Amino acid sequence: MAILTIYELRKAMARKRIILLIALIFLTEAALYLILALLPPQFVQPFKSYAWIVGIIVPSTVLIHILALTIGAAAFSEEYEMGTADFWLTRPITRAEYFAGKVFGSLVFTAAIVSTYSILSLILSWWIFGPQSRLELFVSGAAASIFSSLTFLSVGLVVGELLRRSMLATILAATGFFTSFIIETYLGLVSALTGDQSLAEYATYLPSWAASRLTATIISNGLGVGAIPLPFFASGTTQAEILTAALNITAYSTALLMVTLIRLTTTDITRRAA
Amino acid sequence: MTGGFIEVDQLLKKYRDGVLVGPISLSSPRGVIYGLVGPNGSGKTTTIRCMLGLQKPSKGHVRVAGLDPASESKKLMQITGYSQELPSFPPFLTAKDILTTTGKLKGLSGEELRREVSKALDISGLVSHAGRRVGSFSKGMLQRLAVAQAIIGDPEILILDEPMLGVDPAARVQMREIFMELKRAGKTILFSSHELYELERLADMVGMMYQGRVMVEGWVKELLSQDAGGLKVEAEVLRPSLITPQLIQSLKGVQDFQMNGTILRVRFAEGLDGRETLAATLVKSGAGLVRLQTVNRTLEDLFMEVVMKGVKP
Repeated sequence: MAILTIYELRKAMARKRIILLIALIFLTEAALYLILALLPPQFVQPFKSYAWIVGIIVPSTVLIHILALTIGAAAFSEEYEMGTADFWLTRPITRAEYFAGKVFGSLVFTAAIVSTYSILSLILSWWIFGPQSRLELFVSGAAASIFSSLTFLSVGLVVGELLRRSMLATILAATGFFTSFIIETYLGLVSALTGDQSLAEYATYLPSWAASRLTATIISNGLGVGAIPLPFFASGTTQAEILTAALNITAYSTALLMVTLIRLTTTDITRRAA
Repeated sequence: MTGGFIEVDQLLKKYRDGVLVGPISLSSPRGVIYGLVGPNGSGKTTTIRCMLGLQKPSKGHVRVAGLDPASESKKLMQITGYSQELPSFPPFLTAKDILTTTGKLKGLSGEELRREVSKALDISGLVSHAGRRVGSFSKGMLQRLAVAQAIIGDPEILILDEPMLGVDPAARVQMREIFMELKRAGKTILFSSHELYELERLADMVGMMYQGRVMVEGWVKELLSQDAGGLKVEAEVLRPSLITPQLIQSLKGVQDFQMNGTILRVRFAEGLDGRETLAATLVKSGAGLVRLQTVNRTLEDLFMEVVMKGVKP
């Protein structure tokens, strides 16, 4: 598995699409802190010792999922396109080992990116705003981001394996993410306007709901009510919300990974796509 | 099943687009070079992919070294080296990476791994390109790398899909030597090719495929023996205008003949040697005889006779 994991890391680093997305994540981080630094001091003052949180939460809302689904969509499909699935599957490894190595490698790569930008957010916030508080939540925040990326990494993996075309798989997986995100936002808005809690309840079943908010929910819960005077953090979050989000991610990831594994182990390995 | 080292029994593969390949049956003993030949789309690659467990037969059975490729691929790949048609490797890896990865997956490590990698680089003539990314390799270099990675770990069986495709003449000679050396070491090699001449030089056994079936299978020596398919004779005459179809057809056992300028080619029925009668007839007719010689049968002849006509011998 170590061989495939290292291979997966090298493969991801050799792909322009991935490099562009990583660059976008880091540029977003830098831009965020630049904007915060330029804001009037009285606005930043109440939460300047929590500035590190911004750099962890913002990418975990959308960007990390786009990166995860892009990595996932190419993990298997690109091997078919390049004809290198034959290379791997004619070595002494089972298809299940091939699957495990690829999934683990993709997750390790995503985790490395999350860790890097999280550390960057800490360095930048410390450098711009001085000493930071409640850093005991730093690790759980970063870990939540890694865990939440599993949903759309799995979406990418399953679509990539089903279609065996990387670009099409990336587009479809991204469409899935944005569709879910838009529906979730719409349900949340309508629920807030009408007071119909059932709509907000439905939203919790969507894959983007848990993926995009688990990190913020965990950090907010750790900080407690009123620590940061911003709408999401002001009301505080509950352990139940964290549990629901974690279950949502686990359920989607497990189901999608199982479909990927079944498809990979039971169907013919297609020859290089024309 | 007849118990060959590589055994394909009534293999039938049905693709989703309706294309049906088979039923294919072939059998190769241990320690021989088996050549699989046939035009594009004849089912060679499908057969090979089923032998490797990359595809599952819709019907029939495949056993390689007594193993079922579909369910025992890991064990099988431990003793098998494979080189694919139009080899593809991850373009961002170097030749050395490819060989090292293959070696590690075959359980090699330390000094043994280093020795195997360096031997494979040396044999394939890629020593000076070891550190180059394979994305920049030419077709011939990729083909040599494909053979190099197939021989890592001293496999018992080599399955090579079109290993000579795109290889320059010098490398071709080198590859031929590698195959012969491996055969001498007792390895079993199954390779597919379009090139009948190459096959004739290398293979001990041959399977000729056409439209998803093995039309002919046998030992090359036996298939090309003088008797098989009838004796072929070529005669050069002085006055070709004196040779009429009736004259040649009147000879006993003539299957077919061709006249091309001053050259007359005659094929006799299997087991019949009509050379003396032909020579006498040509002289007697006044056509004259400059020379008369037996034409050796080639795999190309056999291929044209049997496969292209779609008739089993």
